[in-house]
Amino acid sequence: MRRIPPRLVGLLAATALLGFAGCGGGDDSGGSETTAAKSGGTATGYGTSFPDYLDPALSYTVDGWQTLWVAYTPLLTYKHEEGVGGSTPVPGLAEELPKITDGGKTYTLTLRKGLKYSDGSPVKASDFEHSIKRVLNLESGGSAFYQNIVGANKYLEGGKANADISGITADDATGVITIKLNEPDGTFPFALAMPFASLVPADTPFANQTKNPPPGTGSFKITAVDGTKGFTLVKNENKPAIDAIPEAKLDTLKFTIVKSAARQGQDIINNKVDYIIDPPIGEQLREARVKMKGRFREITTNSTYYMFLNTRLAPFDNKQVRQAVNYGLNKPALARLFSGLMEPACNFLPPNMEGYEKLDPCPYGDPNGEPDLAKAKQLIQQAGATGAKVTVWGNDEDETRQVTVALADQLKAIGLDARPRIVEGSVYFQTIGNQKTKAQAGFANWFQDFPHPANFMFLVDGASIQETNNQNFGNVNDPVINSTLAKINQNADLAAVAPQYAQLDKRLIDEGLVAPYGNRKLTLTTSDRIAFDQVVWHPLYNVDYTTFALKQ
Amino acid sequence: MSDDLLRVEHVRQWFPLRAGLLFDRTVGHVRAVDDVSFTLSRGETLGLVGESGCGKTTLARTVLRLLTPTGGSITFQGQDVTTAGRRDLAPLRRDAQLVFQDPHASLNPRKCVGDIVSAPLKRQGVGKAERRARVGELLELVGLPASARSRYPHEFSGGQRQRIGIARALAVKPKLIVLDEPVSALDVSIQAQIVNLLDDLQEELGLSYLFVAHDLAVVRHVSDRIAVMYLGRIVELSPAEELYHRPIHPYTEALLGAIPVPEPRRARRQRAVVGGEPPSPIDPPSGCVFHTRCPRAQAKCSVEVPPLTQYDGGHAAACHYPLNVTEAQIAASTRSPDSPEAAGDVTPEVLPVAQSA
Amino acid sequence: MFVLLVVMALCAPLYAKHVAHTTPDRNNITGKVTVGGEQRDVVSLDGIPIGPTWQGEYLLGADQNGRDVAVRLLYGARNSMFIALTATAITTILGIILGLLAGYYRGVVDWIISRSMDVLWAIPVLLLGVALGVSLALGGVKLGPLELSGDSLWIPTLIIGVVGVVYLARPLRGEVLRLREQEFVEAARAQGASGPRIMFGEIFPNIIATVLVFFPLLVANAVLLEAALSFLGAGVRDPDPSWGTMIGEGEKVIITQPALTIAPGLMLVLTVLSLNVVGEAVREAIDPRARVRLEQ
Repeated sequence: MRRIPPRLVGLLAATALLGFAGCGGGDDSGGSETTAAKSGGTATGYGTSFPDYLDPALSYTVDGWQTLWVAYTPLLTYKHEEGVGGSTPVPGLAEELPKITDGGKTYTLTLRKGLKYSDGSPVKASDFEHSIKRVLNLESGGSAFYQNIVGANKYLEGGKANADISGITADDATGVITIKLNEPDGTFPFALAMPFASLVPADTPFANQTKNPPPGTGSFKITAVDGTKGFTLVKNENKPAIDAIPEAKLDTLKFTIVKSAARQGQDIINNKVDYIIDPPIGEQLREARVKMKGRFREITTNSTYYMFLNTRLAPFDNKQVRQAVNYGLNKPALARLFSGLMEPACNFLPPNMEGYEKLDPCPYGDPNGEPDLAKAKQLIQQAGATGAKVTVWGNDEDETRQVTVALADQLKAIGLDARPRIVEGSVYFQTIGNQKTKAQAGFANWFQDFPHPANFMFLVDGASIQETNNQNFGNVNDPVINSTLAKINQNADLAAVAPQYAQLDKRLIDEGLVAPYGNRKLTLTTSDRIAFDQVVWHPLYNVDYTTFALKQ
Repeated sequence: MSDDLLRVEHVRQWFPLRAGLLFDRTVGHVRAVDDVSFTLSRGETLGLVGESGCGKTTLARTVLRLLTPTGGSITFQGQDVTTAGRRDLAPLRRDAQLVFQDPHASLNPRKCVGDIVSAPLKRQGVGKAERRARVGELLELVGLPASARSRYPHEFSGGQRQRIGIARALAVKPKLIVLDEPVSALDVSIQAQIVNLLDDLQEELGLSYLFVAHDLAVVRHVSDRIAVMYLGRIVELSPAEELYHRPIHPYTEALLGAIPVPEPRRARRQRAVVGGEPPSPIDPPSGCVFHTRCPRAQAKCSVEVPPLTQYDGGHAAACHYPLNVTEAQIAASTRSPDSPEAAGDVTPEVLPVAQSA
Repeated sequence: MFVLLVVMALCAPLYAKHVAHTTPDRNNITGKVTVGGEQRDVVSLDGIPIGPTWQGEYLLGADQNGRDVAVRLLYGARNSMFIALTATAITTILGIILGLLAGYYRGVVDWIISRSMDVLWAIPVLLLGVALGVSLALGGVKLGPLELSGDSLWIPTLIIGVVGVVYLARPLRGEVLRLREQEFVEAARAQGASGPRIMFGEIFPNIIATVLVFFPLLVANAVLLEAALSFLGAGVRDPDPSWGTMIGEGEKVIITQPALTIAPGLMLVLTVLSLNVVGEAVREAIDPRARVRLEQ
């Protein structure tokens, strides 16, 4: 997922460490029904800022998705479970998982019968094409996932909203939907499960509907959008009778936007609000850990925080220098800058994803231990890079700034003449994504869009390098990695190719092509009123609002 | 003619009046100096008198090219300096200097007297030691102690400051000094001192003076000749003593009448007093500019501009009905080439006694 | 008092080396310091830095990156003062030149200069400063052979220097307009002095008094402007300390760690206060009534 400014970070996909051994920070098992809970009632929540969009075709942030996935359903969806269970696509509005034929280029699905939107109108198979058209026509951040569909590019070039996409055919009578792709793509099933592909009525206008979200087929419906002040989720009485779409326990969940992180922290500790999206920070985090026992959890998300090293520019075109950087990173120090909500890591891929194999021992030393400064300095000297000028880029958001300053300092400690360079948050990614900037190193992070390693590997794929809006900030262009990815990304059977992804991960780290330092942890906090142990942490969509219930 | 130090011919100084919202348009002119001609010889003192606003200060500055004349010509030491640029004006700047009226504002309060007086020397590149010597000389010349050089203007009295100003003017050994009401701002007792000093200096150094004043009594003592100005024109030009005994122009007589006399009852003549304010130089009266206030004015005076008529004894006046001249003198008179260009070729007449006021 | 502050600022490197044993940008997140006999984390595991220890190391505590606040305060003083004094010097030189030119030559020259000043005056200083600061910081400045990197201290210096010119040029222009009508200027012209000669030889000595009175006040203004710009992220860039950036960094944790904000804030107040006192003293000394006393 797009790098989220840390303020929105609370809404990220998280993977519960339940069922996985050796995880740090997380605790207890979820999903047990030890607290008696009742149906119905109203709960309140805070967010620091209004979601980017409340329109399924457009939203591409965690807090947007957290709200939208319980209000809209695509053809495929995920189970509302923690851990592995919640990471695999299952049929949503479709009867079954897609039939994939023609060497991976044709997908066939059938829409379930008798489905209705929250306003009572019937769901039609052709609504799927309309929903995809909206994604493309509105230039959504998610268009890239659907441009592989035959005719999609032609549709975009034509510029006419109501033109036909030749690769999608639907029969409203039978409910059969056929999608043809230009190239086989192993991640396409995940694209079908993304909120972008949620079905909305065919009369939904080609415009941002945030102020007046369209009817959907989820457990809730979004009502009462109040400008930028908040919005309300109300139980959907017309919810389709499918297991994959659970019944909401609450009647109403009301969100208010409260900008002050301090006030949010205070109110949740004092039970003045039922749920806050962002984690408490600083002293309040400390307070929360102590005072909120039984309603506070830390969970490691499927995310990687790393420093990109521009392999096209000195000194990072030199492998020894890159390895020296990896030796010299003080990961526990960086973890403290996130108030402890960071799990030091060695791999580039995050844990709790198929294709992840922990590098044990880490070639650069225990991530939780002291860095090996002597070895790092030695490598720098051998490479003749002592005193090389390096600019470490970062932005002025909280935590990012301190981390960038610390990273520069750590590079100085191993013998490079490093200085941080902080730029404004809203222009940061454009700036480092522009080759003209010649950014040597800097802050980067990534949260999964869906639980497939390809989603992370694209950041280090030579094929992703662009002149502007580049996401492969390090310009990583390793021929082995490139050719392997070209093959395995097309394979829809993830289990079969998972070990190869793990190999690529190992290669990335051995060659020092990136310098990862940890996986972000997030917190789940609620008030006393909520039956905390029934709340589900979904691996992709974070907190599952359908599991919020008031105690008896 | 080589004895002429300064020759002024038909000089005009008209200041444009601008008005307008966005762009200034010229809506009229202030005719401060309106066709003035005269000659100044070496070693001579020419007094220039008139009421406030008659244009004498403007004329003084124009002559020194601190203003550029809007018409006419100025010749100094044989060189035409009417429109000369800064470089060509260098000789004028060296050989002609100005002494100001206000002893307070004419000296830079932030400079010591030594610097003020030596400034023109410095500009000419005179060496430091020589400057120092010369400053001492000059200060003594004007009657101040040499130690004054290191003090500041505000430490001196008005009279002393005028002396400093004179010393400054003398620094470059000029040939001509224009003095713009140099004693008007001083006490009567000090006035005499300064006037005497100027007299002595003229003798010692062979200076020429253009002495501008509004007080006829002061001017009488220093001047060889006196020019009387009214509303931008010269109305009478005469050897000094003769002006007082035999004024020809009615305005001159009026000015003389205004001089406070110690024993009014013993005054010999009845002086006609002229009342009222002078008209505005923006829109001067037609014909003779004095006709609106002249007790002797006739019909002709409002129509014809009187030429400057040269009478015997170097005495000239611009009046159609002059005082104190006989028919014979009129017959013997000539039309001076210094007459205003607008003047016709009209002969003055003697006014019958009954018709005068 | 101002002199004391300047001395303190200049001593910053000495203090850093001998008393605090650290540098202003050395991060020390996982380090420990001995306080009252026991070892404590400089930055705790959950990211909270230590408060004032009132001893050599970490006298006023640490910031989130484990840097010594007292050391940064002194280096910040250096930076803030360098910027303020240099910027004011720029303002003074430009202000004098423009004031003289506009007042003496009048006409077109005055029109151009005065209208430019009006435009500059009309733009809110802070907005202009932020806009310039942010945009110049990104790419740096390239003017022919002169090159400034984006995080050079000269960028806020130049911005503040130029912005302040308006406050000086206008009153100076007024003075010059008055002075040029004085007869001693005419006298100089009668002696053949050229325009620039008159401007700098005759008029300039008379405006020095005004400049001296304005100078301390301009410095105070510059200090505050630099703090404001740095606070907003448009002035001094990381990791260089300045009082403004320190206030900005401490603002977010002001409830829990007030020292991070109070210390630089207090320094700002003291500096501006002392400068205003100096300004008053200068004004009194320049008073013409007292001049006789001065020049004897």
